[in-house]
Amino acid sequence: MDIRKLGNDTLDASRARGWAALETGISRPVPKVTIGTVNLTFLLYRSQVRPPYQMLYEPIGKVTVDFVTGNVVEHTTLPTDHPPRVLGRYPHAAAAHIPREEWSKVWDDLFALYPSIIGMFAGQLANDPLQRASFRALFDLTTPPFMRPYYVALNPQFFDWLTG
Amino acid sequence: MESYPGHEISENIEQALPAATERMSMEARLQRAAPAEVGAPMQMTDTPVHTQGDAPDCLLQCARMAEHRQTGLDPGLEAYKNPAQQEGIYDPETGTNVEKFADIMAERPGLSVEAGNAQGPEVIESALDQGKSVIVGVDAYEYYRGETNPEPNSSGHALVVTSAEQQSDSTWKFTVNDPNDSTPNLPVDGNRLLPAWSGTGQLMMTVEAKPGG
Repeated sequence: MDIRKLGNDTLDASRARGWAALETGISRPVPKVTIGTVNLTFLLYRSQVRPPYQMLYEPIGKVTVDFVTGNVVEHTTLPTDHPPRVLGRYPHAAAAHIPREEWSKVWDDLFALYPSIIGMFAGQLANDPLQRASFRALFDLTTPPFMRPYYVALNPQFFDWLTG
Repeated sequence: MESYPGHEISENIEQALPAATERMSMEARLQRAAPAEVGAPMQMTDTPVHTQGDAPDCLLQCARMAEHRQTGLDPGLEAYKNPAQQEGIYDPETGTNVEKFADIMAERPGLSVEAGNAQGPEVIESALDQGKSVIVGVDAYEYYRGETNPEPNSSGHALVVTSAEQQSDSTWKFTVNDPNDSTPNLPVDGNRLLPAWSGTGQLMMTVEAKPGG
């Protein structure tokens, strides 16, 4: 499963259903296992490029998809301020100084690790502490501090497992 | 001949006036001159720029640019914003429903609008050659990744393409009006624009003035 493509497909599906506008971006997914089924949940939030930054706003919704089929399972509107407030700008301090080519590789590596991490979290693959540590480092590097609580809220058990 | 003490300057007063007159005449001719058609075709490079600021208005401003170019009159942002907001197609806090926005554009008097997913850059070039204004949707991450370190799976963005030309080596060169930049006709290589355009399924709108409109 190509996680980057799954994110783009889920964003397209959200736009088609009226849950997302042209200016809406989608987060990386957070896995959750429910009665043997692995689902992935994405955040939807306004993500507007204002060179040299990208302004990120409060998430307005979350979309859950089936990891195997990619089909949308659930959409939930999230409460926000009115209007949704700006949380901060991207790239955040930790990411801003990284050379462009290296930055692309950071994301490629993160997306490439996702299937293994999901498999480990779901108990379908043997635990690999090195891969888990790599994923954690890449996830932290690419996640601005102001967005982290929103990711953790999607499934705190995943982040407990990741850091455990 | 006049000399200026302490400076290595001298001038022939008798020749100064004719020289100034000749220069004024030359400047006046330059101001009236038609733009030279050298290199890329001019196509729609006389499209006025309208910028968006912090608002999620890129598509609305692109529509405004296109109408301004086609009719010669700036319709103002409200001409698009008000009806789109009334019909739930635009929300100033979240953005624009791109799939339905063409309906708002089609309601503008004197304009003919087509929207869809184009086959390739040749379609952009052909539309521009026919005098149509072209709006494209791009993946913001792909489009801006050379300038900053953005987040993938980002939002979309809209641009007005003002010229398109395929080079002898088969690569493409474009100029665009980006609502994020007040500079008109920003040069953009195909290896930047085309992957970003592909990220939206090659979303494209063409706008032209109706005959007699």
